Amino acid sequence: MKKRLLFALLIAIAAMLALAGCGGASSSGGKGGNVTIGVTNMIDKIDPTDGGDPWSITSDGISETIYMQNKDGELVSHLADDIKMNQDGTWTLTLKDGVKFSDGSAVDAKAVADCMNEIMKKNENAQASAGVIEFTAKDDKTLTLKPERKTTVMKSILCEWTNVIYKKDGDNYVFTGPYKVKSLEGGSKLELEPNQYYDDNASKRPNVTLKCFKDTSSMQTAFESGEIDMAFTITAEMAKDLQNKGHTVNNFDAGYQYFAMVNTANGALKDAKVREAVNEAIDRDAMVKSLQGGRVANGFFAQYYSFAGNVEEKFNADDAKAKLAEAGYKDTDGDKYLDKDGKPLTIKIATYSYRPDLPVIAQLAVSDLDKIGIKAETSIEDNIDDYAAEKKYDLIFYAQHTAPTGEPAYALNMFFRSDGSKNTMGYSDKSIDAKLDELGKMEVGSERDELAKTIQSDVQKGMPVMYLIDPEWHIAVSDKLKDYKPYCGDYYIVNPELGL
Amino acid sequence: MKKILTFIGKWLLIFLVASVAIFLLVRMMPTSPVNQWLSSYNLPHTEENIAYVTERMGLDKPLIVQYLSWMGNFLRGDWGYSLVTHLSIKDQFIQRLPYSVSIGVFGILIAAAVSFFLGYKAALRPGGFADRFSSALAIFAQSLPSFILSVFVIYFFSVQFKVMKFFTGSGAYALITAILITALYQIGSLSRVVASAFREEMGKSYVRFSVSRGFSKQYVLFHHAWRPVFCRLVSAVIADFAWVFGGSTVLEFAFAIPGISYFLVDSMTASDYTVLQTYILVVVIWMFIVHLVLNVVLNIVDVRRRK
Repeated sequence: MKKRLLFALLIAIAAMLALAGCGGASSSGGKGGNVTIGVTNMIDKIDPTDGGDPWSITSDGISETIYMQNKDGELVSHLADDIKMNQDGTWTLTLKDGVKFSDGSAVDAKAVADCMNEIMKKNENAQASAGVIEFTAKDDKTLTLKPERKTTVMKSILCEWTNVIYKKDGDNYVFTGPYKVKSLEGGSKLELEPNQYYDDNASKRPNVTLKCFKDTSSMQTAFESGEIDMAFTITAEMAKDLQNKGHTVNNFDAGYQYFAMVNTANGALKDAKVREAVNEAIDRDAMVKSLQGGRVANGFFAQYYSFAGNVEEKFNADDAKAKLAEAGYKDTDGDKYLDKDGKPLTIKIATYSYRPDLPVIAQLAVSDLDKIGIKAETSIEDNIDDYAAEKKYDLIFYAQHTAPTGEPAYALNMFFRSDGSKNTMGYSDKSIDAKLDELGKMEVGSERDELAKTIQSDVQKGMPVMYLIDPEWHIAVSDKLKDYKPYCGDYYIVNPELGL
Repeated sequence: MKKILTFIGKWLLIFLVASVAIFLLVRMMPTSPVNQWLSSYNLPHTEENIAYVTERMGLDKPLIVQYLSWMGNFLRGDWGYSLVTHLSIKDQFIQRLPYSVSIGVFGILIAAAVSFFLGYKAALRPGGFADRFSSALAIFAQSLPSFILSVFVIYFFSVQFKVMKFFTGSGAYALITAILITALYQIGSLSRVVASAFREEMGKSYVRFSVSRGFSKQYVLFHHAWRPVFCRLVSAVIADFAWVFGGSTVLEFAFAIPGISYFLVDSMTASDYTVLQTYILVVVIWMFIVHLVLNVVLNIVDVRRRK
């Protein structure tokens, strides 16, 4: 009996090994070989006019906006030669010669006008900055852009994630990015091949497969087994573990900023002294250490932008305690926690799990606040934006790419203008609104950058947000991609330099 | 005929109750489908927008009209569109169900087949290897989560010995391994059911009579006692089929298999109610099919049920 069972077990193992030998061989790929990337999110379909799809297909290297950020945060274009503002508030866009879609057809003014006018009509997010922009082809290379609201930052608007260039090909779409779609299993696997019309390096680019993992441990295992060449992105703990095992982990500037939204209208943080105390009690250096990278934030933007702030956040627990005392908080019942008028000083920190760093730094903040006598607790919310809209929070630890188009006005208006779409903090300052108005009228340049810096410093005084961390993210890469560094956070996971 | 009508009537009632329950539950959720739809397009939740989308979704009509419209569309095969991906829910189910159903159905069928023989051997020799092995498997299934085993299997075959690729290539290894792990977790308990049933039959007079006439116990059990044991096994398996959809979630996550559970968890995270209510109805239909097929099997095997 035992022999039979043993025999059956051996047969089963042999069958597994035989299966291992007979299938799953990777395809030979193009001249550039094959690259497989593990990601934690993937598109279900390809429709450049629907929801967040345009963001994803640009991130995956399939589509492009007319202007895009380079690794220094500057706006550059693969499609346009030049853009100029006219006296009447319209703009003239001149396209480059010889640029083609991935099917080989020319990217001419008519094609650009057709797709951009369709996007303006179908995707309301495209109208956020300057209203509906009307695109008219003047000749093969030149277009006139007429915005509904006057703007000085058309380049940045053309970099917004909604505004991708495409052409309809029956029921499908063709784009201008460095890669084109070979196959898509919605939400699971995306196979890409180089777009031969992109540039002279097309033949050197590898075929790329993106594989979606809902479980990051599985993604780590897939990386360790050599099945994927890059895990985008991994947590600080995973980064440390993989480094200890001898794997290559690259850090890169996320572009995203971690900050705390502060409810200035309700609760304990309505008191400016308490806000100042909490801000000083947070040990940001400990957060950076815990996240294995990044730096203490000096404003609302990543440090590599010319308009990044110069705010200096200081950690001083003793000063924080003194400020709480000034605000009238004392430990009257000897339980080590402060109270006032018989009410304990408690702060609820809400965050979300989609950015795994946030719960980590929220927990550190709880510990910091505990040290100065504030009883704090954290909660993880499923839909953080809906939660914020209810305005019942004390602090929300939040992550946002604050300059996705390489300019500061978009995020500053969204968060700090009195009626800003993300101003759930109850913050209203007429002088800030006036400065934001002025910022909107200024042309791109050093003066505009300086004003953006001033706004970040002034905002810090009212403290609708606490600047926390200018983070770095981690990716695990195989030897094949050891020099690869993405930029602009997760906006360009597959960029033209991948595999070259 | 009466039994058939009763069977169909019972399932129609279950379908009706489940559909009404899920229909009302969706409308009691804190986040409405209208808000969810607006959020998915990043549109502001203004009164005008809410009114427009409410009308467009037909949510301004009386509840009974909404229910009949929803059921009518469902039965006609129009399952609507996901609030998040804006893709056809039916297409998404058709694309993903084969993975989950394969893991569940093949896992359970393999487990049932192996359990029958393991239980048979365990019944013949109480305290023997098969008896102890099946008990150990039952304890193992209760004490070690399948996710831990999956991680171990992946690490062992993929990282340590690099003989299998679970995440790239055709995906066959991931699917086959998930099926085998599903089977492994069922074999222990099912083989105990089989062993117990065989032991019960061993005490019955027709078995004792045949053995006293000189037939071996093995022969009598295997050739004459298999029918009632098989019926017990089928009854035990019916319950297992209930979790074919949701039960494979852990394995789908561990092996990155794009099955229906993968999709369902995403939908739950995003409060995609249109997907969730369709899912419940599909599970009810699935259980109807399972009961129908297995009742037919039981009627073929068990002569007494036909009377």
